[in-house]
Amino acid sequence: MVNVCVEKLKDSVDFGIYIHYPLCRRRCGYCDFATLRDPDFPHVAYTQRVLQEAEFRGEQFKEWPLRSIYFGGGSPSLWASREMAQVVAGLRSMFTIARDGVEVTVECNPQDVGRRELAGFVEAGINRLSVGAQSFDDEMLHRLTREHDTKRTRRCIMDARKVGFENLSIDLIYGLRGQDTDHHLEQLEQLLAFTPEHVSVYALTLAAEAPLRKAGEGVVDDDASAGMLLATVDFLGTAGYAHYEVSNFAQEGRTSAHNEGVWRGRPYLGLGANAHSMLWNQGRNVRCANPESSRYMNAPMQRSAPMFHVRGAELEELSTGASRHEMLMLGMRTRRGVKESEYEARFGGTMDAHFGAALNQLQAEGLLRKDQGAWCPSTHGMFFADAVALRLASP
Amino acid sequence: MTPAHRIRNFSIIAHIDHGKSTLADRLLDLCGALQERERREQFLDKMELERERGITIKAQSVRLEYKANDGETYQLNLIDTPGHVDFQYEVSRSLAACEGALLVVDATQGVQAQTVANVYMAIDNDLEIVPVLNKMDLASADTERVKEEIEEIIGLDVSEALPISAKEGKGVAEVLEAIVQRIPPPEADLEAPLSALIFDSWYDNFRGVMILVRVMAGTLRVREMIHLWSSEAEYEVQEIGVFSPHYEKVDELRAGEVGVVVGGIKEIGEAKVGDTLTHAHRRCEARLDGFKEIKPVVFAGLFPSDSKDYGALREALEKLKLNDGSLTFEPETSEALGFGFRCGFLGLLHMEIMQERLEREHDIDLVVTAPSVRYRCHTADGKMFEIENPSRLPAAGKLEFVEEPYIDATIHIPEAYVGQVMKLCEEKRGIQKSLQYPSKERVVVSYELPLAELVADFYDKLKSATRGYASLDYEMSGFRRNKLIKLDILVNGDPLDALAMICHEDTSYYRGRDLCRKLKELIPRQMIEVAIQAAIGTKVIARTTVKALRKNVTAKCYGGDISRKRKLLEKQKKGKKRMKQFGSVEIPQEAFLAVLKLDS
Repeated sequence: MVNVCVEKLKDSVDFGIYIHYPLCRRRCGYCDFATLRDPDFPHVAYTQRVLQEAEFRGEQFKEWPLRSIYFGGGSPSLWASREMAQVVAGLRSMFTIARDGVEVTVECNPQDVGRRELAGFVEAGINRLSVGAQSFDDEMLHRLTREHDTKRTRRCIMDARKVGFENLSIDLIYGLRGQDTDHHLEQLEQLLAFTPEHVSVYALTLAAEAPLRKAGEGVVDDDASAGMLLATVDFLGTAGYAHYEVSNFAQEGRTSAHNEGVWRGRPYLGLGANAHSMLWNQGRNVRCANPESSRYMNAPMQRSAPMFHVRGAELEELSTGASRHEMLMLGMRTRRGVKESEYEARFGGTMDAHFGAALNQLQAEGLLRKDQGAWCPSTHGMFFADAVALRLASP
Repeated sequence: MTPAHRIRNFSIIAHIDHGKSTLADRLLDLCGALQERERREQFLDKMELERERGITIKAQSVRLEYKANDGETYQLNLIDTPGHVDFQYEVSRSLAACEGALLVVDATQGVQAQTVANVYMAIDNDLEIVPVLNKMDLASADTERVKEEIEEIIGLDVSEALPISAKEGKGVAEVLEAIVQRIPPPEADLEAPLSALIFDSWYDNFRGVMILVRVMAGTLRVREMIHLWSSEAEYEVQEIGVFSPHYEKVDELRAGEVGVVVGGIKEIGEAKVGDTLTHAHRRCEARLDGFKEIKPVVFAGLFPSDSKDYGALREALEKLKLNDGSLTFEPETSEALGFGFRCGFLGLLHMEIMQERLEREHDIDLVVTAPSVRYRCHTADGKMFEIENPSRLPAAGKLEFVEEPYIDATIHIPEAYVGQVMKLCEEKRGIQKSLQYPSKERVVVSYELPLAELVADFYDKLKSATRGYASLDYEMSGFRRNKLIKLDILVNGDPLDALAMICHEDTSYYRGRDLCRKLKELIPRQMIEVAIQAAIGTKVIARTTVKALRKNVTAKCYGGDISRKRKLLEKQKKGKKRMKQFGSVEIPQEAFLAVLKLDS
């Protein structure tokens, strides 16, 4: 990663590490993530492998400040906490820690953990828990083919507080066919009883081949879905949660450092089977996807200049134009938008020079505005982030 | 040099898929004209498009040498004809170049309308017809029924019809013998003043215009000066050639022979199909019979999706025009679609072919407006002018009356569908002319129909009403005065000129309502509400609304989602090129053809 621009930036630009744990007890009917169901999953060997990969590929991030570690999946809550502890400790020793410290998040299914496991997470150095509650209605959980009920969810969240988690995020899903705004608001109300620091609220999205769709389930129409999102923004706004990304809400200072990095276009190193990385090369984004688990476990590490990766990983180097567009595409999903200074430091030209006409047109239409050195979306614009991104795409 | 009595000029008349091209290939094969590697299917259909559609657009001719059973070697000129109703005139000129024709009928299908029309044309040209029953290898071949049809519908003697299977090569040798024995040789006065019938012409990048002729009288040699009758142009013959089937130069063409004349001609319009080519210094007395100026009857606006391609579109049209004198185009400006061309075609198929060639061979994305016809507008002070673009029709008060073109349509159908077809024709403002039962099962219905109805959706409707069993043949019959008005389509209050249509006053309300409904389906929801109105003059007669979208955003955007999202956006961006921006409304290309897809 020899790059004048990056060299200049590295003191101010931090990076994140994403670790994928592919194992799930079973697949949820709406899920299209890379998951695996294998009772003999070699998690001890997997832990060693992830650390080995970090050692090798981390070379390119030496001296960059590490701001976040994120365990996603799959179901990382199935990973033994002592092994996660090894990973966290290993990464901490390998990299420089950012000035604001490292945010360490694990995604957690309520049915996977009891109080003992949660205590183990805290001990392992995990300081943020993201609980996949999805709904506080047992019937809806059942229809979503979730394995837990609301009782289990409540216990998980209360246990998490008891063992010392001070930064808690709760996920909700809305828009299963038949749901209306009132029902959705009831879910939000129940969620707020736990005063989580962070809330993610996702519109249910079903791919054409999703099992749930085959089972005859569907989603509400676009108008109803928009109504629910609007109600969410109002409701959570009144309760003190800022709508800082299309589907994410946080109390003051409690945004997800890891995901904010992703949306700001900052690099992150993805470790583990199927993990995605975003790396920089000479002002261009390089996206890298690791191979699936069995190939991941055995493939040698290799370096094809200037990248280090697991053999079999899919590497895609974006053009400069596509890299610029990607920064805007992601940035315009967030309230903070894209800071002109960050853009210029990254690409060596101004946003006005590269996207001026489209930005001004979008501003005239009330979708974007220019605010204190940043181009950011209006609330209306956040609801149309895909349309905005399309307009900003180069022909 | 073959004496005239050993020359045979013939063509093959057949319905699409009845095996014309396969038989032609077998004839070439038996005469030893093809190398092993050339025996691909349908050698004669040169253009890729033709091959895909299985039809011949341009005429072709092949000279074959055939050693007959009598021991003599004959020169056979196979003159291939275009196979679609849009190219009727070209067919008639190709037939005029022959003394005989093979009538190929699929023994499993029977006689089709278009075949009948072409056979009549051949009979009018005094051609000897040799009936051939093809596909005898198929179990479903019904020889007796088909023979009966040929006798009853066409009135031909079928006692000597030749049963063959072109696919398997069976009976093809007998066909060659029949050509020699039954088709008369050409009359050939080698000393008379030169008269040659032009039955095709095309543009070659190296040689200029190549003219395919049948010499009717006299002899044409290289270096002679020629005179083209209707354009009065004169050129020196640089080259004469024949296809056998590969191009070969020859020194002369004598009365009775068929070949290609090259004279460095730049404009294809100077060598019109059906015209007469003669010597400049010794002209023939009169032009050969049957010449017609052919004029386009279907018109559509062609606009580049990307306005930057305007110049490229003009160049592409000019290139196509080099090869196709019947294509017309003139610049047109649309408020909605920008700069483009109003193009004239011989029919819908001709239009589709041109559109495909522009997109495929010239790589230009097009927005095409619904095809229209040429209307005659008569003003109160007795003046008449023609319009080809519906949006140009003046307001009702400014006109005395409007005339629209009509066709004589002949439809062949099995008896069971007579009711549906008559109902359809009545709905389409048809005037019944006759109803005939040439055989027990088959009916021939003749209607006079407005060409505009045919151009809209008549053919599709006919096919679905008869499950594809109908065959349609038509020719222009003249103009009729009707109560025609202009229907405007307004998008968010502004008239969208490219969607304007002319329709009959009595159906205007329904057309307007249906068009608004159809547009509502075709115009995607956008960030603003889109009001679609149909209006006559200032009076709005129908309205629909495309509601505004309330959000357009992907819920999750992490890790792998990001690449997927970006790629999807790139794809959508490409797709957007096929949308036209009208004010702040995006209109997809299909919307401009909506009028063709009305259900009523």
